[in-house]
Amino acid sequence: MRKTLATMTLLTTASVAVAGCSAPGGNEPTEEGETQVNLAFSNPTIFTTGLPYYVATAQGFYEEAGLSVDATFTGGGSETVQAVVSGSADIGTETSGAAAIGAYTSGAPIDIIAASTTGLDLQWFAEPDSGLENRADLAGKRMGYSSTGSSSHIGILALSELLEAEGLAPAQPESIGGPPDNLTAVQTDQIDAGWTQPPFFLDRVANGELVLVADGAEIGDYADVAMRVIIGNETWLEENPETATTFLEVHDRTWDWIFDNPEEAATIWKEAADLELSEEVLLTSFDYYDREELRIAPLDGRDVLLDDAVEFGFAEQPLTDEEVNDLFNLSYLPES
Amino acid sequence: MWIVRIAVIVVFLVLVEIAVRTELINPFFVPRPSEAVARMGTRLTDGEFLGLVAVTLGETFAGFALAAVVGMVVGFLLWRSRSLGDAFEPLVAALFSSPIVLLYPIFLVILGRNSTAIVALAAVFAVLPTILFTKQALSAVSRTMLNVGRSLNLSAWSNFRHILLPAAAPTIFTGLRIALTYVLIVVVAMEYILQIGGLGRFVSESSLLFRATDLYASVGLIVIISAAFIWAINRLEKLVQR
Repeated sequence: MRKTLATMTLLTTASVAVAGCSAPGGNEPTEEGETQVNLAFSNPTIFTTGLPYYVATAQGFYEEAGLSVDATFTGGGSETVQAVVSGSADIGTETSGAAAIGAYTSGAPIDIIAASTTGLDLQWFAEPDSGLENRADLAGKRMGYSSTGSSSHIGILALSELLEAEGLAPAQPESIGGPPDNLTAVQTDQIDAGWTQPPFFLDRVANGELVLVADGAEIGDYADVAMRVIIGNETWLEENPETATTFLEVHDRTWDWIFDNPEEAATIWKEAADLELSEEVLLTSFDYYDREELRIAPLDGRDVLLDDAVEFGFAEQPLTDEEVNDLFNLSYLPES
Repeated sequence: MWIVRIAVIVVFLVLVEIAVRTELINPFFVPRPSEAVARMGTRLTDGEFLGLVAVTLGETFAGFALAAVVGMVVGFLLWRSRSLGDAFEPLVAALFSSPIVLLYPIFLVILGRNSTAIVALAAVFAVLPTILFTKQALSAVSRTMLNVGRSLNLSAWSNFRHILLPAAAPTIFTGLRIALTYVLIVVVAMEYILQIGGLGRFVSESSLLFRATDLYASVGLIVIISAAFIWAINRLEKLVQR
């Protein structure tokens, strides 16, 4: 009996040890001699998240650069950071700067290595009969976001701060998921307003099925802030600096190609993400984004990100200058 | 025996403590157990956990009460009516082995994104073992004992209270123990997934904010609550059997 109990204790301890010892190392080359990169990002159907991955894969940009990229899809925000921290992914794109800063202050071995999206490209929609027409109407209302620490979460927290400054009640954030989940939640009255990114549901807005209530541009001064960033696992980056730089170079070059070839990009996007939206609707994305917002450098608005991380409770205390320099490691950016 | 159980837990925690202190286990993922226990104490004394525990316990009691009452009544009816029993017992057994928890979006649509939906889902999940075990418990009561009751001209209530219930209680309580465990699991899991409610929401937020000490402190508290529930239901079983 004692022997069994001792064995059970040891086995359980060993399993906890294995679970707690996650450390990615250098990735082995594939059979074709390409270097493996494990990528994590959220909401793969969205313009800023899935499109560059789908286009780089379809156009063979990764292959040309000697990379074999495998993607893992997350719920956004801190979930992308978790994937990178745990070593399931080497690099995470389109994750919120505040979530990354919060994770770093808790001891997460990550670096922010580039900007991903500059500005807050979100919109909040509601049912036409909801009575919601503008930002002020969202006071005290239930608003959906993707995941804790995501840019959609930060957007609601910033909006609430704005509403409170105007003497109104703050919004009630509800973790719902991506835009399709938010649409279902709005239509079934689980929440009052859901988030989306262009061009999703804008056709429904055009035909009166939904109304747009607020736009990211109205919420805080985020136009010049890298709201979403690219992060990497610190250990992996140290062991694979050239691969990280190559990945960033391909990522940036892919955006160049997308903006130079919008029709082809829309076709790839529709097929790869299995979207029901027409290519015409998908092409309207280019009315909402310009190339500059999606550049990997410069990474602007660090002070705002650092302040938000503390103000919104993702980091318990402000980072020291040394910590900021350690976290924002832009040495992997391609020279060009 | 309970000393051995506690000893195993203490030995396990000491081993983890040593492994974390010597960095055999990455402290970012697993905090020192001593730190997690201290955090649990702090969160309990500063009141933060008390509110969360109240919400989780409220949902758990509501879900369990619903499952217990409905489950025992339906189980009794399935036993009383042979045709009903033959018709529905296989269906209940099939549902019991199904991942009903995946139906949660339907509960959210019907009942809203609130505690009511969590309680309803937990009750639906837990009612199934209660029905099955109640029916099986009553079916297993010896015919001879029931005949003795009849020969003594016992009233229906006396027959139920003094013969049927004591004889069936051990198996019914096995069902209730399983139901209670399921209710707590579903409540905490749904709070975790939906990020609403009590301790499950706290676990989810701690995980997403990389607060490992808070995460393990709250998980530890859930384990303690679960153990307390099992102890309480065992005591109740003994009371009923008297």
